[in-house]
Amino acid sequence: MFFTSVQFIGFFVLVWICWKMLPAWRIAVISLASLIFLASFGWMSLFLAILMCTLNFFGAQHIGVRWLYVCIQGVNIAAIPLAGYLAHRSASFETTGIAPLAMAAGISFYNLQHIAYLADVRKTRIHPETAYLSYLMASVYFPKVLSGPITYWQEMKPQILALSGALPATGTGLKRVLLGVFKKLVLADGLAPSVSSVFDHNDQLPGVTVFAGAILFTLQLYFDFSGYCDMAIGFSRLMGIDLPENFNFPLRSLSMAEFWRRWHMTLMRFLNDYVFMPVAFYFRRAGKHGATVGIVAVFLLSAWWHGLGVTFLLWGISHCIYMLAGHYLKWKSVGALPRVMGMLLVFLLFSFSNVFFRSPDTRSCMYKLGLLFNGPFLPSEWDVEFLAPLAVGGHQIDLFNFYIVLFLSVAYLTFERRIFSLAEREGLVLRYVYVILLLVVMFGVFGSTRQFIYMQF
Amino acid sequence: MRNSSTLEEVQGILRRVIGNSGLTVTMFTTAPEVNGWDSLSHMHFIAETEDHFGVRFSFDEARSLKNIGDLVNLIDRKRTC
Repeated sequence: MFFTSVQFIGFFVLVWICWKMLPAWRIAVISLASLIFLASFGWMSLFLAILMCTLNFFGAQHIGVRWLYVCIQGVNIAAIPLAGYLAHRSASFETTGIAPLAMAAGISFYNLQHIAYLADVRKTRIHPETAYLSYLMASVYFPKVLSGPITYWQEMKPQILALSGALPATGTGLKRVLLGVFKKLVLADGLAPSVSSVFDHNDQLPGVTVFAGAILFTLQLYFDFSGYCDMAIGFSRLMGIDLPENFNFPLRSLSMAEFWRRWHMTLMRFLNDYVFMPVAFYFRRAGKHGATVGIVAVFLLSAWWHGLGVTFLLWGISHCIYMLAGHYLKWKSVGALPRVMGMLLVFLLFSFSNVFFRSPDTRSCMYKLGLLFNGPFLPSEWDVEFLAPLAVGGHQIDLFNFYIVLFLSVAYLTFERRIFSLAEREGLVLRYVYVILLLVVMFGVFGSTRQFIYMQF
Repeated sequence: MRNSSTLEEVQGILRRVIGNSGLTVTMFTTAPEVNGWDSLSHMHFIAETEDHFGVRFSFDEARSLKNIGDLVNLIDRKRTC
């Protein structure tokens, strides 16, 4: 049940009516709805979510027992790659019907909240929670359970306690949902065929086509993931709960350090609080090198969190190199260059690292790198070797669709701050709603069940 | 009185760590307000502060500092203990 499916809309309307009619039972209503939502991804997803929640909830009650703490944190951490492995295996069993049993939807996201919670209770920064249902709701809350934003218990608790009297932010909530639908159905899904054409086939392409594919994937990933987060934040606001932002216009960053403060912010917040800061503190006498150890730890763990393959490791290493270059060369921002050049440089560096991120396996990744650096970079025939693969077919209508999605993507990026501030303005702003709806109806990709990219993590 | 001399010394350390000799801070200055004082340089700054004043901070103490004033007060508290 994806956010953009008709089933989810029906499900959400039903939940919202119950939420509205039963204010005193809102925690129970949302918890039950979240469990039903998880069950729609298979019983294994439901079972694992309840198991991890229960384990951590009761573990926190006995936080003084050191071996118990170590064991539960071990399970929390080990479950993340295990879930990725199961999801990967399930993908290969798509036709056998085993897939739903092998999925562990959202585990790598909600387990980070469990890890933070248990660590904070252990360090006596917070008290262990005594209401199981509240903790359950915070960990499996359906707008964010699949792919974040990753929350901390401390920021969910006060909102859950005040839930019975919470008012829905209907205007901004609906507008954020619409913005997310536009980003996903029009932009991300519109770009997906071009990206797939470059990365999912091992055709002999010139380097410039592969690089264009990497750039288009960067845009697709941004629109897909930030679109998902817009929807998560919007749906949540309709139920009176504020989720943290996950993106802050990252493609406008002037350095990689700034980029990582603005991209997937809740994952980086977790990695900063629970990995970088402790490591950098431990090695603080090493001066600048102390931060180096922290940077390497953060990006290798980030790579491991995304997946166990060599491609993710290479992706993590590329970002270690970018960050360390900035750290040692004092490249805080590209001050000497015009702003637009700085942004472009960060965008191109990130796009290059996405060749590792998007390639389905190591062999394919190496092949793409070979095309980028060893083969001819420019095509002999632009129509055949550049436009046709990117426009998937190269017929008149394919080219038209490709240009339209490209134009809308660039237009969106140019005006994204203004569009975002309209979405965040109080009230419904009808002209905004009409324009977005019109664009979705005219250019949206309907009928395909393309899942969100970050659901695989 | 002690606060103000500690503040001046802390300012000197921060100037050295982030390489900005003209930097002026107050008790209310926070890291985001100072160009170059980011999470990468923060722990280095903490270590230099510890060495300068001959005190030791725990990780949670270093983590919970919200502004320069918190750091100055923490140093003064540690030195009077």
